[in-house]
Amino acid sequence: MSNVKPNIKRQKRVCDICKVGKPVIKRPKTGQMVCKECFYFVFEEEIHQTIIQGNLFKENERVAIGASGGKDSTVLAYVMNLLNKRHNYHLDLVLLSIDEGITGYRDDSLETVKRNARQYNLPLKIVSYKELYGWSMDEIVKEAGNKNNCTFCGVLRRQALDRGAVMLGAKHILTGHNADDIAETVLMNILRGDVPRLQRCTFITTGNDSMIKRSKPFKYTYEKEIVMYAHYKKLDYFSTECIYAPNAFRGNARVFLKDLEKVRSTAIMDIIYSGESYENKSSNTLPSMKTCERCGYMSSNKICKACILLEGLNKGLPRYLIKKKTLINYNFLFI
Amino acid sequence: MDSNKKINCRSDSSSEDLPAEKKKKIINCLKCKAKPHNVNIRKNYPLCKECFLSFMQHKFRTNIGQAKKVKKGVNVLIALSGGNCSRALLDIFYKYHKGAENPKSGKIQRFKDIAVAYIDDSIITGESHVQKIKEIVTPYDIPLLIRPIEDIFSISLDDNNDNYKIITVKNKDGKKELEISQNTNIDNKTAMKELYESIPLLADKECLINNIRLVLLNYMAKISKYPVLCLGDSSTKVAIDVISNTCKGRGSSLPEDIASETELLKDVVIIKPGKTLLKEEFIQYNEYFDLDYIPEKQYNSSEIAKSIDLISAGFISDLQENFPSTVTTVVSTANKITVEEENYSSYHCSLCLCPIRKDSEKWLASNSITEVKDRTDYNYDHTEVYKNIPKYYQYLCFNCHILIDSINLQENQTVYLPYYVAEKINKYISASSS
Repeated sequence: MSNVKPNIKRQKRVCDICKVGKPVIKRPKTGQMVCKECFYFVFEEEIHQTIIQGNLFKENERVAIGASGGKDSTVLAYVMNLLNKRHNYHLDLVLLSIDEGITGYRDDSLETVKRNARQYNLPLKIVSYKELYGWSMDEIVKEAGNKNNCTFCGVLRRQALDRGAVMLGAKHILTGHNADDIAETVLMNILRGDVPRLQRCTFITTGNDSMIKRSKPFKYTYEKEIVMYAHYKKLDYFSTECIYAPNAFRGNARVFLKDLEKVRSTAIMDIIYSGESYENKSSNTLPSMKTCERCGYMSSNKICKACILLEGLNKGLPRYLIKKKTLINYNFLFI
Repeated sequence: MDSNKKINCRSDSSSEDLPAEKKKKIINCLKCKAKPHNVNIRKNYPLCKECFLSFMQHKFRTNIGQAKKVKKGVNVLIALSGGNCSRALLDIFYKYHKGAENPKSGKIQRFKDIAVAYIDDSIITGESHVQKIKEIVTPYDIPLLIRPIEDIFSISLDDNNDNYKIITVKNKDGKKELEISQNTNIDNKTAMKELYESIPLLADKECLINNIRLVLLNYMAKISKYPVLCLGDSSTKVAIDVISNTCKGRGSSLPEDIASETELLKDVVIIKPGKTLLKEEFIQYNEYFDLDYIPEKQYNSSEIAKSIDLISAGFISDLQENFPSTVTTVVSTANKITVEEENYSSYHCSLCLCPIRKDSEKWLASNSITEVKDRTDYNYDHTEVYKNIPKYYQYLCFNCHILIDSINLQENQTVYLPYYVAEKINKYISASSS
């Protein structure tokens, strides 16, 4: 009998990395069962490797972290703060939040960001749509209706982040896009036929030639691991979906991706690998970076999309401007 | 009588408007504008039967005409799986070829001889369709070449028949290895079965069979002196391939995989003249001519959940229902995709013969940490993980790494890979040593 007991003990699964700890998570990227401590190490250090290989930062750079209070950006702020100290990046990190003005969603998540800023001792700048554009998202939805409001929010947020970064004196914004988001975007760009974006969406840094560049340190980090990290580290994050968010087309790709993950958990990495291979025959299709004649921020046309949408709102024609057929001369708006 | 009643009912309310209203309901063929439409597969493109058939012929001709690598007067080998698309394409191809044979037709005869190739995969599927294929091809009176899929174990792509070497996959010290050794007489059927069964996941099995089938078809075309190999891929199939290849990590060879004409093996051009036609159009064509085909295998939901190809097919067909331009958009997007040649090695994958991206060997290892020596040491050397990369990664593309990795061997079990893989690896070794 005494010989049997140790055998049973030996059969207990141990961490595939340290061979000692109790495994708590099966890593989707490698298939390994790892313990909590090993998980923290590989999670943080893989992000460090992504940063080093992508050559993301310069020393003493002021870097704004786009913080929404959700899981991705909360973990991003925590890990960046940690790696900055651990590997001496010498970065001047700041948190940048956008207040879209969505009652019951953003006001609560901003409270989370404020707490994060205090916990990690990072300065925080909140820029609101109302302040920048004179419209809050609640008001826009009232005016434009429930359809297409993500178009307004997305376009305006993109510019609001740029504006916020300029206010903070930062030329680099970090966003919490994870591997799942990138894989989803690759598929969506194929389905939409958007070749230039298909090419760009797997770049770790975009906007190198513009005044503000953006990077995705979580490019190779699975969403599942981010959630587990936030959970085990007991990070304070806000997990409610936007009240205006039912995004059907992205939803299709997301369901498909979940089915694929069930077949093979590395499918997300495989999609990113494929996406990185895709190039385009001619560079003619890539829009060149310009400056908007009205607001002076980045644009691919004479007048940026944010200005066009805002002008439409101000003139009482919000929905009219989103339709593709009306992508004509907008000059009439500005007379 | 009923219809009369209805007319009467309507005529009571507005007798003068009726003829105009009735005319509006009949949508005429968009091409001839004379007859009412019979087919409206592409939505907003209604066609009558005659115009639909000439539309199919026209699309086919255009695709053949655009194949620049295909010389005039060559022989063509038409790959036939017996499914909807390849069955209809065989008929279209035959009519196109025969139509040009008649000097009065005024058409140029582009090809000399045509023949049909069929790969018999009954050893894997357990169902033999050889008889059915013979029944399909016999009325055309053209040669039919049939080879079982296990023949892949006895072919040489370099004509070095006496130097056959086998390649084995086995576990050594807990790690998988490919080993080249001298010829021992292996039974093709057993080798094929064992290799297929050693792969647990349906998604990987599909990859293996697709690769092997394509290589074998190319080989058949080469040895039988058919410089052109015609595949029956429809637009729908190409769109599914784009998505599933992306998801399998085969994106680096996507332009080659879905190209309208490409050369996998020297001296054999692969063409896909059905690439601009939808699967539903081929089905309709078969219906019109009452052509017999092998029905598609039905899968249950648990089987579908294990196959990337089947999930992708479901995804595309669901989208196609709601957005009828999905397939054409995906195919045209994929047509625009190219790859940066600088990033590719001159050596092609030993298993699927497709180009290899230079960074594919280290890509996954560079983005993941699988070993930690000391959890408190943050100044470790990450490049050390490259030492653990299996040696066979250098001979294979990213997708084939996954395939070989997935082979699940029992204790002391070895499985064999086809000879041509050994030939390719030998070539790689001798080229890199010189």
